[in-house]
Amino acid sequence: MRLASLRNTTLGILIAAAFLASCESAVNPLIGEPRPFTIWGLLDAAADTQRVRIFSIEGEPGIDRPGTLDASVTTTNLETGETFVWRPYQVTYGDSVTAHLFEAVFRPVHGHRYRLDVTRSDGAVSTATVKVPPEVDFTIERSDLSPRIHVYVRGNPLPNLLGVEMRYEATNVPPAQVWPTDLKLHPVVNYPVEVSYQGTEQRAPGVVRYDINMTDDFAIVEEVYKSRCLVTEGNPNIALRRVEFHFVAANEEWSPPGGIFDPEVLVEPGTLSNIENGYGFFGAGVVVAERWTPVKGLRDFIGYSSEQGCSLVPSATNPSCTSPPVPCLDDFSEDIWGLYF
Amino acid sequence: MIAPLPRNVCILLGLIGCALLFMPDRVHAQQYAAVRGFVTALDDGQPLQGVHVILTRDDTVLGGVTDPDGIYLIGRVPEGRYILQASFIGFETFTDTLDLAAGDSRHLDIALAGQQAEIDEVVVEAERETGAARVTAGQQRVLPQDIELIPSPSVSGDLVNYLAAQPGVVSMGDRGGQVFIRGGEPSQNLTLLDGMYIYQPFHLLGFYSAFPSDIINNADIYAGGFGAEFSGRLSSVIDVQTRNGNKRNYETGIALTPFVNSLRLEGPLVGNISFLGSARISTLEEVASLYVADDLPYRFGDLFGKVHIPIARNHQTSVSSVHTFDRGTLAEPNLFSSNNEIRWKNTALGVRHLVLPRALPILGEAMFSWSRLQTEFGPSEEPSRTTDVDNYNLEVNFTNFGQRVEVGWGFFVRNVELTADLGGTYQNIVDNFVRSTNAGGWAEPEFDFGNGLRLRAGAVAQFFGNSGFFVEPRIRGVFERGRHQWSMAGGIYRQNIIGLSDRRDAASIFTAWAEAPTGEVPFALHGLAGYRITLSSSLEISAEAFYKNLRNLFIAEWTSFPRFTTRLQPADGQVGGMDLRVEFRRPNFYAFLNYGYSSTRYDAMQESLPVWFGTDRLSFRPPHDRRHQFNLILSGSVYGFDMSARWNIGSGLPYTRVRAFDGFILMDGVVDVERIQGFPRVIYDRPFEGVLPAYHRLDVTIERQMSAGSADITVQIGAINTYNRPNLFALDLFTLQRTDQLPFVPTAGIEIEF
Repeated sequence: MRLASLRNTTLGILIAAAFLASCESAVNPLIGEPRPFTIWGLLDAAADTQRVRIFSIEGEPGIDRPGTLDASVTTTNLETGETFVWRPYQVTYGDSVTAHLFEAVFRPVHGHRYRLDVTRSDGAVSTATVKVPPEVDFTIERSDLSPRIHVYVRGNPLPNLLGVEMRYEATNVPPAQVWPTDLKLHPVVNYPVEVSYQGTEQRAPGVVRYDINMTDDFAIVEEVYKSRCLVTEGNPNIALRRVEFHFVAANEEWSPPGGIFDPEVLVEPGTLSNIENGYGFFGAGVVVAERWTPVKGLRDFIGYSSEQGCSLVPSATNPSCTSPPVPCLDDFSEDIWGLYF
Repeated sequence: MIAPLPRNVCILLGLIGCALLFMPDRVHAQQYAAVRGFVTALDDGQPLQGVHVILTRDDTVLGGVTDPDGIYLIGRVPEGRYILQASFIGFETFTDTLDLAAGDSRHLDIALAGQQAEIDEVVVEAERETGAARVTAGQQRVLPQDIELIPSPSVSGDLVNYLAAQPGVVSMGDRGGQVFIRGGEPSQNLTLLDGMYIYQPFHLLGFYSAFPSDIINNADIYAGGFGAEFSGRLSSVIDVQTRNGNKRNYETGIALTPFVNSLRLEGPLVGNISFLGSARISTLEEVASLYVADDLPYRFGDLFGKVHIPIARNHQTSVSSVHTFDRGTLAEPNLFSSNNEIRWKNTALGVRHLVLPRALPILGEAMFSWSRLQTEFGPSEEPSRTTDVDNYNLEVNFTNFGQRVEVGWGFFVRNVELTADLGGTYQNIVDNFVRSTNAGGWAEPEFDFGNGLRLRAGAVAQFFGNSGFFVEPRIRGVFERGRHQWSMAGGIYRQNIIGLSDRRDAASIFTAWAEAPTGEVPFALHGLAGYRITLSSSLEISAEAFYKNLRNLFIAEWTSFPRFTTRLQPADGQVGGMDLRVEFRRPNFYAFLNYGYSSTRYDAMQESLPVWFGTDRLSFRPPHDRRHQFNLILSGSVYGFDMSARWNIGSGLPYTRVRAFDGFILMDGVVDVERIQGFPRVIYDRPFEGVLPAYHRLDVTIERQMSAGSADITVQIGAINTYNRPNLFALDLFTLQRTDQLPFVPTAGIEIEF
């Protein structure tokens, strides 16, 4: 009898407990984050003013951070002990999003280590330590007779090279046309194409070499222009205005997983991050670049057209360009990246 | 020299050979007699299923039970004089004497007259083929009267309410139109209406589907382990057969409620041809929203029509068609999304022909159907995503009847055309058109070993578009001894046309249909075992355990961008669980109590996982993994009032918690951080580690039926979510915006039938 009573009591308690446990209907998905700041920026060894963007890590969604950011930013040159205090300022994008930036006037020294401290009034601090890469010796071997180029980057030690690219500043060449006309116009579009050479380097002690073949690259440029409908079978010409070889000599930590800056991967907090007690990335680097215009004979040899299309200003000499068309970029769908970057 | 046949063709031919092995040839047919025909109700001409038709002579008893079309077929009958009896609850037993000679092939249609006399208890026992606890190896047959026991805001019931009251079935509640069966996703359920594929059969408001109970003849629910006659889906089958229209009288039914208005028409046409039509349209926006505090931005409806044509005594054809539409907004506009309206339309047409050949004890069925699903998401004038599915299905099925063996076999050809415009948010597909053909055959003999042991073993052999040739074995066994029944089922299942959804929150019900990548056809292995005991004619208890091993699934990737994505990652999964059901039936009282335990785990294999979490595979509970579910249904009659109540409680679903929010800038070079606006970002916790609050709700209805002249009037009042539980429907983690299920909603309705 007592056993049966105990059983009933236990069962009752269990049922009551199950019911009570299920009574809670509120849900708070926010579990909180003790890290105070997300930091995005770099020390640019070629600039006299440095900038950094700071996000406070908050429980409210969105990137709009109106009001004053409770943060002070300092940088210390760990080699010399020199300290720089960054000045806060705000930028408003469109009419709604307020961003918090800080700037400091100094030029980082190659080879020196710097520490960035972003401190909240309660003492919480996010920190990044970064070493400015050493200066590099950069030479390009090229001639007016060959599409082949050799690029040498020397340094001791060799820096981390990012964004190694050959940039072709090209335009399409629409057929001559009478202006004005009722026909649909073929706009002239400047559409630069960047061909990546990241990962193609040949390494030797103290030197990195890139071999570039502008004829091979022309096939890529042509493919891009075709995919964008900028050239067609009846109108195949592409004009080359200028080329540029560039890269970023960066600090060692500035190295994405797999060597690819895939935003879908890097967006995950903590991925490619050197911030202590925070998120984001603070790098150091300098853009190294050289621009030139290949001679006409070489452009022709590669496959580019020497005929210039209409420029974007009226031409007194070319009747079809007296009132040239405005480039129409409607065909270029702006994806989500185009909106924000 | 003749080139050898390809292996896959050999397998297909082998299956057909096995089926033909059991096919009665003319020589055998001439040694025995056969009796066949249709059993219908005398008053309305409806086919009666579950009628016991037996032939007796001395100690010899032969017989069977009619199928949903009312067909019986008794083959391999030795010559002699027999007494034929057809008995069914509520009908006079039909008796006839037959003199059968060797080679006789007798066609005898039976029309059973309704009976007012006291029901014989033996007949009651014999008739109980359905019931909520009557689950045999994952299969459950549902009749309209079963559905009517579940409270619903409509005067007449709807199959979805019955489904949602079953253990192992997880619905998203009263919004969303999604049903998960034993861990399977909605796109892994095969839903058939008179053989027509219905891709998105459940309406936005969770009380309604394309299957109102007043058009249903029966529905077979296979929660797993389904047989070889079904293929092309991983998880489950919902096979709904509609009834024929009344063949004697015209009938009209009109129902008015604050949620839905409906109209049903049926009656005889020329000769013995009948029609049945049903139309429903939601009235939420116009009526219910007047007194419900929440916005109810839903509009939906369905239209069904069927014509049944008995061409000859042994030939019947039916033509069915259905159209459904849904439109609604499941989440409030927010910072990142101004209009999340979803719209979809199902349209289908099917023709089914049944034949009972005079010469052989065989049942033949030929079906052709066309189905279309059109789905849009985004602003109505400019949807951001659209996806269309067109399905053409041709199949021919046969059943050979013998004394101890019954063989089902057939062929099918399905052509699916998929069109998608996904606005660039899908990784694998953006704009595409895919045509995929699936063809094959199946054979599945069922052996009756006597002593209560029956075994079905068969296989499907099929080509899946460009993915190749596959053989899927299936097995199903039942052993009955006295009041005990043991059952088991298992098999291999593949699905070539997959539904891609972003399931990170329940509101993302947009499903894009695509062909599985070549060589990566999603695969499932099912195994289940059950036990049932009939303690008395009133009380029945059953339990069933199940396991599913899933491979080559595709699920949404994780991303910290606050936007919809269906970038896909491969995953495997495992589902295990058990159901427990107790059903109690008395003439004026009904109780059904069930508990379901289910555990679903996916192992995701996104490429970024090693970078993010330091592991190649991430094991997690998907967001539909409801571990515990409990349902109590009570129904009874008091002083002429029919009352029913359903209390449902389910443990919380998993979700991904949020640590905080910040912004993201892609540092892919020397970027000028002043010029870049950046992108909002969610700092997630580890995926699906959180658990949402439990879900529970009590719905009640009270009905009173009256007669006024030739009209039957039913008046209903009721309440949804009687104690106003704030059950969560969706939680948008990008905005922390919560959307709840329906609050307390009183309902009232009237149905007039004449």
